[in-house]
Amino acid sequence: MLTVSILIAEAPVTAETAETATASTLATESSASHEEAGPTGNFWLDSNVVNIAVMVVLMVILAKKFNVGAVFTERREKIAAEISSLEAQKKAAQAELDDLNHRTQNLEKEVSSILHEAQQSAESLSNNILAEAQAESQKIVENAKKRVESEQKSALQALEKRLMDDVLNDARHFLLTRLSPEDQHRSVDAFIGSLPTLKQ
Amino acid sequence: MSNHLHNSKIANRYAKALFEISAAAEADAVVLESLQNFAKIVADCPDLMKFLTNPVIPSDEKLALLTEQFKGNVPEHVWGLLRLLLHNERFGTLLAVIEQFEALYNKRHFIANAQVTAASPLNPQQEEKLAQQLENLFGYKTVRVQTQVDPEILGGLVVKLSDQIIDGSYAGKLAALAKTT
Repeated sequence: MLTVSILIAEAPVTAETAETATASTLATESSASHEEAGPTGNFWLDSNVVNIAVMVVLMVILAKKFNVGAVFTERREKIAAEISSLEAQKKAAQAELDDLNHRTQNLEKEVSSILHEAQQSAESLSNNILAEAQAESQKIVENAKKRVESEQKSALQALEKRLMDDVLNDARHFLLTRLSPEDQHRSVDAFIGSLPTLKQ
Repeated sequence: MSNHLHNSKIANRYAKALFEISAAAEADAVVLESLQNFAKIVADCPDLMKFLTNPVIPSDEKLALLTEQFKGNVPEHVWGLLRLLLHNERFGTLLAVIEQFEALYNKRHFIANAQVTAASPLNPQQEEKLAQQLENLFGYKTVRVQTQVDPEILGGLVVKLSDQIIDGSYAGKLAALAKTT
């Protein structure tokens, strides 16, 4: 009975050992009831306890031999390192995401700015073209007016000249055909008489 | 043109020399009359000028003809001019010399020639009155009126005197009217 308690005290507290301990407790209780029942029942109980104890001792030896605790520690550290690495990767990914979001926002602003500039430039260009077209059309209209005025003036002058030529030709014809010798003499006398006025 | 100018200069030299000599001797009127008669003879007999200016005919023959026809019939100064022109082979400039001499004579004696264009011939009274008016107007002692008829001037007169033109014709008045309008 004492041996079993010592074995239980030295064994590492694991799930398996706990179950084993529970089982041994039950066994102890049952053995106690067997003891109460008779000597055959106690033997069977003692042998099981021994077996279990041997098995526990073997397990402890094996655990020490193969350093199971270190394996678990190593495994825990490895998992912790992986978690740490994943967290770092998560942080980097988050930073990259933030950067991309920032860039996207900047791109939107830049696109908006370019569109705004393009609109302004297009409006300015449109206004300039419109102004030039208006100036050109005004110039064309003015030139056309001047040309029309000039042509009207030329036509009027040509008409006046034609009329004057006709009048002069009529006058010439009249003088040539209608002036008598007496008229000619009178015209000569008139000219001679007007000569003294030239001196003044 | 250049040759004509050259001949004119040469003729001017001969005319000037003859005029100075004859004017000094108070014989310029006689000399002018003689030169004008010679010009008339040459105009009436073109062969005479051709003979006197022909370079193939020897000068002796030309001088003999001049002597036979003119020596003693023209004033001494004129005879001297004819011989000099013949000797210098400048007889072709004689008519130009006469023209220049007349211009010098007219200038000295305040005489002007007026070329008058009329639509119909002028009568003598009109010519005389015109001459008087022109003398008074320009200050000449004598104005000689030379009339030509041109019906195209329609009426009135056109007078060309020295370097001035007085257009009193109807045609001129019509032209002036056409210019003003």
